[in-house]
Amino acid sequence: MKFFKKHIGELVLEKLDKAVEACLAVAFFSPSDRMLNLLVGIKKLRLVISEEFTINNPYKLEKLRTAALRSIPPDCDNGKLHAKVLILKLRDGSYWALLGSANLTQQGMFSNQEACVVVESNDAADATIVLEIRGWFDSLFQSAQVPNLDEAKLIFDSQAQYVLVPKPPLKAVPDIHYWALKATSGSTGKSHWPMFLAESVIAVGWNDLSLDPSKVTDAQLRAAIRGTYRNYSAREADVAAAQISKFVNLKVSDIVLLCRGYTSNQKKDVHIHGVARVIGPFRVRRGSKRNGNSSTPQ
Amino acid sequence: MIQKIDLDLPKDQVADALRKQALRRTIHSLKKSDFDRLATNLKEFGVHIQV
Repeated sequence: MKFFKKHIGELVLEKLDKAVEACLAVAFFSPSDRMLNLLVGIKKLRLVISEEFTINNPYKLEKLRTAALRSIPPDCDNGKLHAKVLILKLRDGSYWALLGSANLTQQGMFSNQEACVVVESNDAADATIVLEIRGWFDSLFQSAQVPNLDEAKLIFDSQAQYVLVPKPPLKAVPDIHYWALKATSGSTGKSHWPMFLAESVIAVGWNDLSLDPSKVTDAQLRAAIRGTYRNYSAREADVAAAQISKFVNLKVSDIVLLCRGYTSNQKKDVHIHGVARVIGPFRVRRGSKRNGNSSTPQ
Repeated sequence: MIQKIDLDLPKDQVADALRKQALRRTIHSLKKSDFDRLATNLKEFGVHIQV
């Protein structure tokens, strides 16, 4: 038996690539495209999932055309399915099983803090428990039912995992613009996302400026930036002025993606905080230690 | 109005969707098609944009 807390997704990808049979029992199923393609390539696949189709993706399940799919309702007499078990028969005839906390989702495999153990039939110490796990899966599979993917799609399409307050009625909106806004300070790395959520605003920094950027010309704004941030080069001041101007000129109904920034050679995932719709005008907020002076009510 | 998502996406997936290999400045203009691609990716993780 081996314990894994990191690189679980990579390990599963490696083993799926060598699998000729697979038995999976997971509460949540929404794997990455690469993992899904490997599952599609396994000729003998049995999959049991929880019938929670606000999260479980029926469109991905549908791609497993040759798989035997089963599901267990949350109100099942034996309890809802909460297990995360992968049993693979490898090309050499041995069995490899992963048990732990990781669901077969992008987050479970690659992002979350998970803890799993691996047991293998070709390890004499694990052989008995591998047999027990296979027997457990067979019983589970027999007790489960065939999911109705058409109904699952209706549920998946109509219900979001994250619920938002209803959108207000909009008047005629001639032109919606789309934006991406970093919610993290470039200089300090501090995240402003908690403030955005708590106050239902989005904001940018440069909070030492003493003027209202919505009431001055571009030239006046550039001059103010250079006077306030004396370490800025002329180009940096121009860039800052352009950024502030874009933010000031956000229009009601514009859509803003709120996320962390990233670089071209970055390997780490990008965190998507949320999405905002602008519902009020720009305003200056002075005296805040938490954020810049430019905020847009949402 | 803010919809909370709180989800990590692979960087290449985000960069490809937004057609931006880096996101370093504070605010970036997006095309609707770029945003829609990202929304499609989010939907695969069970997140439906509702703003």
